[in-house]
Amino acid sequence: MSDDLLSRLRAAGSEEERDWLLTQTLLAGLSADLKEAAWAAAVPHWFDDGILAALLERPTAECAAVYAELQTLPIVEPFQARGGHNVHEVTRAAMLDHLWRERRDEYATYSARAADCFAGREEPAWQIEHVYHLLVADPELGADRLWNLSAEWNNSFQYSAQNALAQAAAEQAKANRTQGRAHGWAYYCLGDMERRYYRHEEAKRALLPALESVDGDRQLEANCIQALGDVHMRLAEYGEARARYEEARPIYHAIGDRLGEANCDLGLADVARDEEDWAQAERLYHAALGVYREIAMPFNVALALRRLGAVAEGKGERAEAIRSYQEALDIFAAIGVPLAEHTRADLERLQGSE
Amino acid sequence: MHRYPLANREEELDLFDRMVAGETRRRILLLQAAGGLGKTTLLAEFVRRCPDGVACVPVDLKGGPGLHEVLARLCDVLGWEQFPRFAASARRLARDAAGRVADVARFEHVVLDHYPVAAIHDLMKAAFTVQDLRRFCRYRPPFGAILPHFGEDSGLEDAIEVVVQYCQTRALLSELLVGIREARFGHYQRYYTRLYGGEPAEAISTPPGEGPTIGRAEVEGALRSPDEADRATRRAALTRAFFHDLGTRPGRLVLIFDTCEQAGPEVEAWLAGPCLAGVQRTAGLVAVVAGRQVPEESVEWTACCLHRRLPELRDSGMWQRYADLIGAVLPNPEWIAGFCDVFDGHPLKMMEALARYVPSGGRR
Repeated sequence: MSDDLLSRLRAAGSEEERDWLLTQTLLAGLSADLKEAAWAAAVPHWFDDGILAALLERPTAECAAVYAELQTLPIVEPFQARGGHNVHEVTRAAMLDHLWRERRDEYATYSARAADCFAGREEPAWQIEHVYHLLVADPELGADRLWNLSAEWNNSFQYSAQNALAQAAAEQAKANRTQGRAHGWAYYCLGDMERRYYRHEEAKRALLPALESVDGDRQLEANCIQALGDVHMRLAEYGEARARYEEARPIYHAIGDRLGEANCDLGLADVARDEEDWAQAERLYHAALGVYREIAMPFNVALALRRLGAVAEGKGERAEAIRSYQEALDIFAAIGVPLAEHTRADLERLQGSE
Repeated sequence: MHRYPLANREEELDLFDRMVAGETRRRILLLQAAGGLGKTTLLAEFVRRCPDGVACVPVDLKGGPGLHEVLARLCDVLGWEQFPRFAASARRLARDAAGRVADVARFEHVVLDHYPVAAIHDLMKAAFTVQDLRRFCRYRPPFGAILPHFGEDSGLEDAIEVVVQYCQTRALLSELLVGIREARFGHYQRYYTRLYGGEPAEAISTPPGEGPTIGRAEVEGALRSPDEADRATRRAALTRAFFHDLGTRPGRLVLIFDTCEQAGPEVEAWLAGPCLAGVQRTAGLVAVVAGRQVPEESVEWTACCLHRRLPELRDSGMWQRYADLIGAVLPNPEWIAGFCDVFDGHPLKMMEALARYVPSGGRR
């Protein structure tokens, strides 16, 4: 027992140093078994006896006692939604930081075991935790899983799960525990979520470091550039937006990503529309529309049609505008989204002006 | 783990008691504090001291649960039977969303060349007469241009052939299927497996009012949509139904939301908007929202809200009692005041420091 703890705490040079000294002292007072369990327990966002058993590679029955003992520590609290416990966030961050800096192999070992353990169940929380650990244990595989899972949840409109995944991945990236394209994908997913929720500056702050970490991954590179284009577009920074879309488009083309290419055309058309370059806007919307039709994406088809309607309206081509709005409306109505109502309003306004 | 005695929290406890007893017009308490300052401990005490007859539901937002998880948790704890309107609304929205989402998702993943043209042909043959098919084309603009291609005396087979060929060459087969689904849903359903190789979305969900199955999955389904405006509409509909049911529930109810700073954007917006506005509108409802960050006060509910920042616990006498409770033996009794000074009475750090002085085997 370090009886001069108070003096050492007083002598600490910073709050972080003092907090770490405190946690270290608490851990030093534990039995070897409990101490090992506390370190392992800090790695995941939550644990129970089964998870502890996987992390420590021991039978679950053996871990019941140590799990119960961990719950008596002031740094451990219940995690209601997972039916387990977690190391308090403040302490956990300090422990992980120390483990990463001083005993990185041990950290990687725990992460690999955690990745295996959390792969065992289908619930989103478990899948997120699986990817979170895989990003450290096997960055290449982690990057692929992160992108695939994020895309899957995006395609099935499970945006809260997608956001939780992005936040978990970003936690690793912000702590600099990811490397290469895993680092890039983690920041990209975060930036993509910030963009979705209209937090433009935060989106830029995430997408720029993502772009610096593409590590030869052209899909990631194109995604980052196009997402930055979208952010600039929303901020009405047309020059920057155009430059980003023009930069991303050939990359998508080179990797055969037709949807990405069409989305860049749509973005470039939006820029042209806002600058009232109707001819250019029309040409680009038609280019995007053709691809959306070919790859069978009705929502995007309707979006492009609605914007073509707006361009025709801008050019004073009323009949053409009505035709495009009507076509967009039919698709939106079939899909069942409120854009149908907005489009119907456009159509009625135009028809009423007859 | 021993919780510290709640000295110096009397003010919050008293306020909570008065809110629950209906002795103050305040019914929303925002409790803000940095990590480790004892929010969760205080909330646990709130739950403990709720009198008999007052239901109390704590919801921890740690891990960023989706709105469907938050709502389902509240219904799980209070009992789904208390939420008939909410359950019906969730079922209806989920069924509607499942049908549309499944279709959109299917369409978005099917490559044009792989459309099962023979199945589409058969579906149309079963679903339309030749007059129906003409009407279908006339009122659906992408297909209006097909009408001149129909011969005067075309039979159904020929007309279908014209439509399918037209749609094939112009990449309109997905739109054709969307249209058929809208116009002839029953037929569309029966041909679903032949078209896509899976089960019709409609068959997966429970019809309204039938079957007891309602839970997290249905609420999640009800909130799913590709479009933010649509999601907002769905959130609003479910929230209205939810608070309507809460309003018809007898007795007082306390909702406690913890770790608010980890809420995802949708839950954050829901909490700060429709949820707390619903609390304000619903007599007998009390809400405590705690976190490092709490919602910004809104004109919709600020009239019945109180915002508290939890202070540190600098009373060394209280910490002495805590040390006695856990059996901590300090080398020098004055160290408690020293720790209090070093940590500025930060509860988590004080507890960590004192735990170090519990003799081996004395840990409980």
